[in-house]
Amino acid sequence: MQMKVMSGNEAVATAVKLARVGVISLYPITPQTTIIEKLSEMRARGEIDAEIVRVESEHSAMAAAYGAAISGVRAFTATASQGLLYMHEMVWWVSGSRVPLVMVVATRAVGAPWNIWNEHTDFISERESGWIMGFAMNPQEALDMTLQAFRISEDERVFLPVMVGMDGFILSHTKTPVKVPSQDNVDAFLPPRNQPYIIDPENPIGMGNMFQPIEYMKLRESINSAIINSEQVIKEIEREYENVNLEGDYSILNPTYKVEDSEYVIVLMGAWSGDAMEAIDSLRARGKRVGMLRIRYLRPWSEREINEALRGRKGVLVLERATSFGRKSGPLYLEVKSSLDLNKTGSVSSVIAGLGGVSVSKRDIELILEKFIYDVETGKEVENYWYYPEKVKPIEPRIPRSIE
Amino acid sequence: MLNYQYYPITHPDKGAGGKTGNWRLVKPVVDLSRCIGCKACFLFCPESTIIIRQDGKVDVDYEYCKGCGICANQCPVKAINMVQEVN
Amino acid sequence: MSLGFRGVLNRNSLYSGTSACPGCPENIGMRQLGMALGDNVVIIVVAGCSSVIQGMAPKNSYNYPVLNIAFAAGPSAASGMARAFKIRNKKVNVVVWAGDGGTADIGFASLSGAAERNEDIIYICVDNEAYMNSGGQRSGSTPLGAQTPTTPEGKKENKKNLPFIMIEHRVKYLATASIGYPMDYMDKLRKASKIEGFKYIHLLAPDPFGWLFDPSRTAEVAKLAVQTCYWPLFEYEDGRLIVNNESLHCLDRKTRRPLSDFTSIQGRFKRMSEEQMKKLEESIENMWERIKKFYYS
Repeated sequence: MQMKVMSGNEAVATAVKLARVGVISLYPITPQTTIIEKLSEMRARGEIDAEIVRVESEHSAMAAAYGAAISGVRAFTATASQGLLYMHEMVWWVSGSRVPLVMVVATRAVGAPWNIWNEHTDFISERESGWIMGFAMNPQEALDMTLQAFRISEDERVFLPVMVGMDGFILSHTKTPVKVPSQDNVDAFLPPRNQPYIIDPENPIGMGNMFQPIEYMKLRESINSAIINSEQVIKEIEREYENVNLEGDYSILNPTYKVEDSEYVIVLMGAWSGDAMEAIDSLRARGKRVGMLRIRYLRPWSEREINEALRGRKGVLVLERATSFGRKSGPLYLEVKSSLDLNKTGSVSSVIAGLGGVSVSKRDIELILEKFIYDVETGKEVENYWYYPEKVKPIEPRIPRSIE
Repeated sequence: MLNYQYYPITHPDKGAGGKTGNWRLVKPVVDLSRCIGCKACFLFCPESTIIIRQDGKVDVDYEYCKGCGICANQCPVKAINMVQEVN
Repeated sequence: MSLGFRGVLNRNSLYSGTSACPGCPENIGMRQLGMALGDNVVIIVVAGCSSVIQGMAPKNSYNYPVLNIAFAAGPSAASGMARAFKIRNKKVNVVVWAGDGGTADIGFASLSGAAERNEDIIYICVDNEAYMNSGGQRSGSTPLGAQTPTTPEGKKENKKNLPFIMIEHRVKYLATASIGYPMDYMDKLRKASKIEGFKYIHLLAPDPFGWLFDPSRTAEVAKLAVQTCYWPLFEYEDGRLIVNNESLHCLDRKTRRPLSDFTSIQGRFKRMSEEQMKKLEESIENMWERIKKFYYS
């Protein structure tokens, strides 16, 4: 176990190395490019002996990782916004095939127009696809969750691909101290590759030719059952992970912060949870009883945990970094609200902020919470709205290299 | 618990498209006295329904033969005739 | 395992009772592949007729391990698969079985990428010159003048010359083939399986229901295509182009069989105007000029 200062991207590359991934397919896209560059460097130095496929598009990146995975070898790829949307067809194909595979998404806003900065829409928009989806809050979680993802996807109760999201630039490029587990500990945690079937001349089988409609429906139901049952599997595996890394607290899918005696709870996903926790401390110092529920697993969606954390609160504020166009809220609000027993919870509101890389500080989160609490206490009807910070410094275009 | 797992896997087998012999309008009949065992019909049959006998000449699997007529068309000695299906 | 002639293996790659149309050339091609390559093959079937020909679950007509995959993903999945078998230390022929739509159009970038990376796969483009599985709509590989549901007045553009494009990729081995010449096709397959790197085989598969001729004549049309010099049979290896014996007569204009022998028996060329026919003949003449230049250099 070593302590190293590294960015989210570097942490992911380290996890891929520790997991002894066999085939890595890569295609560059900001902000995940440093993952693939780090992996290429490791390969050139002989630190890893994975086969690297430098494909010509993201669609091919998923296809190549899939081809390797279905032939019996652990595979990995990484992407972001435009790339994720381009490989959308293959994302569905992989989950439909029930092939264990891990992908990391460094989230980024979607064009048009072009935008390279952080937003969760690309990641969240894949939630229908049948993948297990976890979202990291800091580089430590990026490393831990990527390692756990290999184990979760290869569990026979699951056999589904897993994607791990992390905030583009904010997490992918920012460096923090990370506890890196030893290879021995990871080897003990991650057994050799396991998958439901393998395409190999030793045992000729076909994958994917047509099924009768009713059988297709049963196949889809199987995916759903596997995701729902994976909640249990994830809890088990993450508890076991404590032997690998004592730093992380993975006892619950969606961690809470000071919710026990809270009247108001903010629900959010991603790196800004850190800022939210500081905002909560600030508000608590002024007597407001606020807590936080951090969504760490978007799929499986733990109705039970959401309900337990939010039942009986005076107000629930869902802070979103994504859009669901056409609804007067973001997508996380729709997920949360549908899991609440509305008789037992007070007002629920959705605030969309930080899209396209708009900077949201802990002061902003404090203001949002203050307004929300004020509205609830004075009996006003809470509204869903889009939050724009008061003073925003425009981003100055610099030479591309300095965006690193 | 694991009875919920169902994978989109199939196994190689005859008749994946049904009893395709029912598709026929005409059927190939081999005149064994003319057949020289060159196996051209076997090389070109799109349905694997030309079967090679012990003596090197050929038989037809009527359960699946679709009656396309390629065998008759390719036979160099015209040993195969396409005959109207009775039923 | 041998049938006792020309190394043809008695290995059944296609189980009877497929969902293919009677007289299907893709089936002929798949059977001949099994006779050439034997057991050690994994097939990646790109969206097309062959996806449906495999029939319905729980059965599969192809007696091989088969991965069915989305339209544009064939060569890239094959890349990943080839690397996986390399890691597992297994010598396996990874074969991509793609139609002309999946090769010339939607899968082109993926094909080009895999060729550029020199992935150790055999790519077979089964060319029936249209999107036959969805009813015969034109593709980049449809010839000039051909009538299809999306080109009722005949296609106005020339056929995309995929073999030449792949030669420019400097692939390790390239060959054109026709199901009408099975021994030649099987020789080329066997040769490809012994070479390491990217191998491209362009297989002519005349479709009776798309080209509009009697299904019994499928093999006959496949032979006519080569005899009338519409479909050249050649190989490319180590920077050299070799015209195969069956196409040598095409090098001299005087010894070519008239193109009309080929076009007249196909319904898709019935409404072709004289001008279109002349343009088609011109494009074939140009193709042979380029082949000759390469061959004699």
